[in-house]
Amino acid sequence: MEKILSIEKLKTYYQTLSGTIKAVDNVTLHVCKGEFLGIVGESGSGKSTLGLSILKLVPPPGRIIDGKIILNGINIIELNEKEMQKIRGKKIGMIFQDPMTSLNPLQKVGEQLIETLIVHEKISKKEAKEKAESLFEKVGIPKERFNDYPHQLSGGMRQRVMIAIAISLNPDIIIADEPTTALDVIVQAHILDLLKNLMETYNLSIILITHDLSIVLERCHKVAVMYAGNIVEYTDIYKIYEKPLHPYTIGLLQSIPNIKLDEQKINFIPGNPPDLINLPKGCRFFPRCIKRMEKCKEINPELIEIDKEHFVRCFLYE
Amino acid sequence: MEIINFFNKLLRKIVPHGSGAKLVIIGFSIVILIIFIAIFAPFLTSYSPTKSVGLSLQPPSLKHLMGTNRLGYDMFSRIVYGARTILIVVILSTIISLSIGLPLGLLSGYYGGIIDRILSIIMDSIYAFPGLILAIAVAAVIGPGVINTALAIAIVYVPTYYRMARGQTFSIREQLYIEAMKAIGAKDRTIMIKHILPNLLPTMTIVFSLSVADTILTEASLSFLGLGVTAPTPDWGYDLRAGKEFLPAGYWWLITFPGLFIILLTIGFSFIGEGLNEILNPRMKVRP
Amino acid sequence: MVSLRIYIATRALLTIPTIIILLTIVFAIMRILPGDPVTAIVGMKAPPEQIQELKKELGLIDEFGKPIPLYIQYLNYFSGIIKGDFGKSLIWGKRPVIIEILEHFPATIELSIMGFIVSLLIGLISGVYSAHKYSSWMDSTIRIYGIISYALFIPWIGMLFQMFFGVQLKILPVAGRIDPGMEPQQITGLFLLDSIITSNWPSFISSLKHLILPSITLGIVLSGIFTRLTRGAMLEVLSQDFIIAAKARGLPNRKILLHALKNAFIPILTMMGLQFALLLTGAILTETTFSWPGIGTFLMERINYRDYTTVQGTVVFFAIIISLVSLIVDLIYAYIDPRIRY
Repeated sequence: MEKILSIEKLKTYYQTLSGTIKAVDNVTLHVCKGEFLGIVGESGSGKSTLGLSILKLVPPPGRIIDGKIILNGINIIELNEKEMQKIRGKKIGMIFQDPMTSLNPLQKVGEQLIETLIVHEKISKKEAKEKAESLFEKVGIPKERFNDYPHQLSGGMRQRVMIAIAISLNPDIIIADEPTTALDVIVQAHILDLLKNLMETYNLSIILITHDLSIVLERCHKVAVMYAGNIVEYTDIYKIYEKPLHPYTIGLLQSIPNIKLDEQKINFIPGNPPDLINLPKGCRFFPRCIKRMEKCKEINPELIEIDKEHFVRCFLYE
Repeated sequence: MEIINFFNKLLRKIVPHGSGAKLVIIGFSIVILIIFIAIFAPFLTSYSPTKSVGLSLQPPSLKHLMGTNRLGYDMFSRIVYGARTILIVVILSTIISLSIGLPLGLLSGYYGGIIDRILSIIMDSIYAFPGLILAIAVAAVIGPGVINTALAIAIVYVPTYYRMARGQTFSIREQLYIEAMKAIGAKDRTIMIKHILPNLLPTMTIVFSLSVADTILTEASLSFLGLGVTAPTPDWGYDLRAGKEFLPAGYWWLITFPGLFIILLTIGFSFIGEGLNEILNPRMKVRP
Repeated sequence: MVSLRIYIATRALLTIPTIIILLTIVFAIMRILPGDPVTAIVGMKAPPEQIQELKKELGLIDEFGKPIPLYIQYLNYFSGIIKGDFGKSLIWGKRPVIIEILEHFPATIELSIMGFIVSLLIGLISGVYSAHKYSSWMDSTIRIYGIISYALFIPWIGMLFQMFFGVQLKILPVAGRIDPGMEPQQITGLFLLDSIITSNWPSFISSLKHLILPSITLGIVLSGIFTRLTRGAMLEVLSQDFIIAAKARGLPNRKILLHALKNAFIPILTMMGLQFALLLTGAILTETTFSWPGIGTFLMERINYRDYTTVQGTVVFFAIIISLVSLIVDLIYAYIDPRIRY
């Protein structure tokens, strides 16, 4: 399968006055053409930073320290800002969590899409407007909304605008950072369906960043579980559902409530994720792990391939 | 070398970090320097600022570091003694403004009521009016001179101190349990002096520094316009006025140095005020 | 949320006590402060008839020679102003003060507008650039500029410009408003505008050349506050989510800064109005430095001639104009503010 995006040993740290936050620490994963990858993690796991790193938009004091991000054969880490501006939006599209704050409040939504088109392609304003209107239609926004301001639209509608902008230039890959967290459950389903449809229609790849494992299991092809800056398990959704390996993943699966059961206790993983400035020496999940061993306290395990295309970072399997 | 390192480390421990602190230190140094110049004027120059040395309109030389003016006065000594003039006017006018504005603001903020309403609207009206024009009007009527200039300027800044004192008193009142203190039997005067006044100090120093900076400019402006101190009192603003007509002929030293010192002293106090503001009211670190 | 109309009404009404207080203060300054205007004008040894005549002119005694009590003087003063009578000049043909003021005011307006434009341009550009290059040494320098600019004493900066561009390089004029004899036909009193309207290009050029140094002087000194304000507002906006989203779309920096500036504009707008008082003060100093024939030079000249009625009338004029402008600015702001809009 053709690899669209390949992240190798990526390290993104924030150098603050109180210390270094290792938000993305040695992350390796890849996305193939037409693939739907879900990155699951709690808040503070570094998943958002991972998303921003791919676009090289990590805000200071954050910096990509090391690693490679290979997009269609080019290591974009080596590109300068001007070259990156050509890639952003055109080769990589991004959808953010809160569409209210992600759209310019003073600009009409149609305008924002037209502007994106004109910046990247040499087309006239008229052509851009036509293209924009048809895109709005494709994502399910009524025509009358084209000249509205963001605050005049509902949350779901705003997110559709973001999606329209993200796919407008036929990017190779789209990163969706918690696109549905700010929306209610029904709208959430619509938006995710829309994403999946677009993916299939245009043969896009999508990275979905979320804290909700259940939506990943429903729609994605592959899943990467992230904890405290590390990827702890990485495989396809069938294997992870039937044979989860990492204790954290197991804990996550167990905490998904089952609508079919009448009564159930809410399972959760006790404890809190570690402070990314003062990371423990050994395995980062050690304090909360029910299967921990002495070894885990001293050394952080490596991410190794246990089964075909099933990676895990845990001493239980070495 | 090691002694320098030692002092550096000592300094770092005492002095807080950050841009605010740097500004305060630089500003303070400038102000202290000029105060020093004013106090030790006779030691810095042997010439009198109001007696001719014989040769007029001389460019700067080793004998006369800043040249001489039309009347043959040594410019360097006029700068050095001029520091005295401006500091005297500024100190005098600030004392007057403070003595009127601060207590009135305190009382106004403490008691409230109709007195507060009346005072506020009067003070706000004066505050909204451009200070220099007000000072010009007063100076035009009462005439020039060091004391008169100080009076004219003092009126301009009374509302500034009034508003600060009043505003701060209001917010401090909210925090202290005035009722409780009164119940214990504390007198109004005691509360105001012992409790409210000390809490005014931080904001007071900021407002003070910035107002003094403004006062310096107002004094220089009045003298420049001919309404400030009278000849032959050495005054930087006055020298600017006197030197202006010789500009086309190229006598640059007549105005360059006086102006430079006006700006320097103003910057000194501005830095202190702004620096203190950054230290006492740190802004949220906004990262774009 | 008060409705716009109620706000306009209350705010307009509030202007009246402010003006009354200011006018009272001017009266107090002119009449009550120590300093005998009569002796100041005619000297100690003037003949009694001259003194009587002068006192009548100043409104101190009535036509029969009886002194007018202070409170009646006060009422006369007020009723005069309401009627538009700002007094008559004590010199040169005793022209009504208001006429003389209005003759000199356009020159000040022209200078003020140009100075304002310069200060806004410098402030906006430096503020945006400073926010864009946050935390660099350029940013620190511009921040320092923001603090220092007001300390740059207008006469001194003006004179430095005069020395360099006028005396050394000899490319710009250092005094006056226009070359003698080149005045355009008077329509608005603003030479630039009038010369454009009447297509008088030599007049336009001469007028422009004379405006350059004074406007830049005034503009530089007043720009600092705009620099700081713009920088602060820009930093606020640039940290918002939609900016990162815009970058994620590959929009170039220029466009992003422009969008940010539009979003940051409202606080900048408020400040513009508050600057009017400073503009006038600055204009007076600028006019005196560049011999600009505006109301500042006019005021200083009349003070020199001890023309007290004119001085009083001019200060009254200032008080009224400033209160009115402040009112208009507040009303405009209330209109634009989104809280009232949405």
